[in-house]
Amino acid sequence: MRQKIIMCISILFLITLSGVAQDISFNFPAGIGDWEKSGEAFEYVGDDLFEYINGGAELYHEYGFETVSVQDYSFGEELISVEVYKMKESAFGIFSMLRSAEDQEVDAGDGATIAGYYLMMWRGKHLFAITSQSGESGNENILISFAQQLSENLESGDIPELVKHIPENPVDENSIIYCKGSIALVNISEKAAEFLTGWEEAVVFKSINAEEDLFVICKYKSASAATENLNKIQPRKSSINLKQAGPYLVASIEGSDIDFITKSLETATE
Amino acid sequence: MSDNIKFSRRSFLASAIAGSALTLPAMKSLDSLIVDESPDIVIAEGNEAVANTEAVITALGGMGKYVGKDQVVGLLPNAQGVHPGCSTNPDIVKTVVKHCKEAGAAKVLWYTWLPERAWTRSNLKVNVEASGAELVYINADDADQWKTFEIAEGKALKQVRIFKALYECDFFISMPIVKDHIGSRFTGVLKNYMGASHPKDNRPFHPTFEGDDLLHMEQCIADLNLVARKPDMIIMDAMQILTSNGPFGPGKIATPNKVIGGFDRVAVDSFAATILGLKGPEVRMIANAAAHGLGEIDYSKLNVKSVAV
Repeated sequence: MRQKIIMCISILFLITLSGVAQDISFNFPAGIGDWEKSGEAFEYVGDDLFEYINGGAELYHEYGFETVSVQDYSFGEELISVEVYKMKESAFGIFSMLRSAEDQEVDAGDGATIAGYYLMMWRGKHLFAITSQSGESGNENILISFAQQLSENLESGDIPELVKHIPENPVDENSIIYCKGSIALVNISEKAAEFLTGWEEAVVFKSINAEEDLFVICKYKSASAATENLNKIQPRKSSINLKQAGPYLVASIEGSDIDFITKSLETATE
Repeated sequence: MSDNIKFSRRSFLASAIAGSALTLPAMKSLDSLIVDESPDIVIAEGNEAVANTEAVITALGGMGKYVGKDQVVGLLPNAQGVHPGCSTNPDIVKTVVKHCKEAGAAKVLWYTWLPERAWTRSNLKVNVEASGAELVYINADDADQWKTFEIAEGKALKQVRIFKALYECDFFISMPIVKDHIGSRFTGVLKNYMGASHPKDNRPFHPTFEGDDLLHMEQCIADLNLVARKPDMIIMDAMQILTSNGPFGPGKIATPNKVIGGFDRVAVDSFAATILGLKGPEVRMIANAAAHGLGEIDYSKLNVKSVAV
C-alpha cells in the first residue's frame, strides 16, 4: 500500500514537472509529408491577439477574430509556420484583405493564393497563413500540400452575400476585397474611407475596363440610412461618382461610370 | 644702420603686435571653417547586413566617438515576430553590440516587453546573447518598472507609461526595421517607441479609423515621441522588409539591402519612407512629429551620405 502511494505521488510529481501543455483548439497533425512538428503549438484568444501581432490585431478583430493557433514544422534546417485564425463568420473577408490581386490562385480550401514563400487560404471560418520562414520561394508544392491536408476535414463556407451582388463582368475577380469595418477600407483607399462612412459592410474591387479606378459598394442598415449618408457626402465628394440603390451606396473613387453596378444591385435585390 | 631697415625695438614690437592682431582673427575664421563633416544620415547599401552596418558605423565616425568606456548602452530593436521582413535583422544588432563592446561599453542591453515566446521562437535571444548583449525583459505587470509621463503638448495622447530602463542607460540606440503597417502604411523610428511604451497604453492608439479619427494613431505616435527619450543614435534595418500585410506579415517582401544610420528620428523616417514609395510629409506620423518640432522632415537639408558596400 505504501509503495502504491509513493508511486502515485511520483507520477503526479512527474506530470507537474513536465508542465501542462496549452489546450489548442486546432488539431495539428504530427507531421505533413516529411515535415514534423517543431516545438509546441500555442494559441491566442480574443483580445490577447494584440500580444502576438500588436497593431496588426485590430484588422483581425474587425473581421471577427476568435482564436489563432500556431504550429511550426521542420524538415532538416527548414521551417514552415502554420497559423490558423478562426473567425466568427466566413473567413473570406480577412482572406480577401490579405491576399494580393497578383498572387497565384491554387486549389486548396474554399480559396487559396500563393505568393512565393507564403500561402493564404480560407476554409469556412478558418484563415490559414502557411509560411516558409526562409522567405524564399521554391517550396510552393509543399505549401500547397500543407494547405490541402490541413483543410480537408474542415467545414466549407460561403462568400458573403454582398460579394455575390458584384457583376461578373467587367470586374477583376482577384481584386475583390470584402470589408467589415473602416480599418480595412482605410488601408485600401484613404479617400474612400474618408467619404464613405456609417456602413455595415462593404466590398471594393477593380474593373478591367477602368484599371486606374476603385469601385466600392457600401451596404447600409436601410435605404434611409444610405440616403442620409449620401446627403452628407454630396456637397464635398470631389471626383467620386456616387449613386444610391436602395440600402446601397455605389461609388467609383475617380469618377468612372457605375451604372453597370447599380443595375446589377437592382437585379440582385428584386 | 641703414635707413631702409631702421627698426627701433619699439617699432619692431608694434609691428609684431599688429601682425598678430591681423593673424589671430584670420586663424579664428579658419577654425570656424573647419566643421565636423560627419554625416547626419548614412545609407549603406550592399548584400550583407554586417558589412552595411559596419559601413554605417564607420561613416558616422566610429562607435568610439559616441560610446565611452564603461558606459551602459541600451538597444531597442523591433522583435515583433518570425515572418521574413518583420523584425530587425539579428546580424545588424550583433554588429552594433560588437562595436559598442569594442568602444569600451561595460554592458549592452536589449530591451523588450514582448513575452518570452516572441524572442525564443526566432532564436533571437540566443543570437543576441551570443553577441555579448543582455536581454532585459520588462514586465508589463510590474508597476515599478514603468514611469508615467504627462504629455502637456499632446494633441491625442495626454499620458503614457514608458519603461524606466530606457532612461537608465548612458547611450540609447533605436534599431527599428522599415516596413509596411496597416493604416499608417509605414513604421520606422517614431513608431518603434511603441516597443518602449506600455502595451496596455498602446492599445488605445488603434481605434477604428472613421472620419476624423483617421489621424488618431498617427497623432498618438507623434505625441509619444514628445516624452520618449530621444535616441542618441539610430541604426535602421532596410535589408529585407515587408511591403504588405505589415506589421506582422506574412506579406510581400522587398530587399532594398540598406542599413540607415542617423540621429534625427524625423529625418531618418522621412528618408526611410521613400523606400516604401512614400514621401515623409505624406506619412501623418512623420508630419505630426515634425510639427511638434521633433526633427527635420526635409532630410535633403541635412548632410546625407550614401555608401556602396
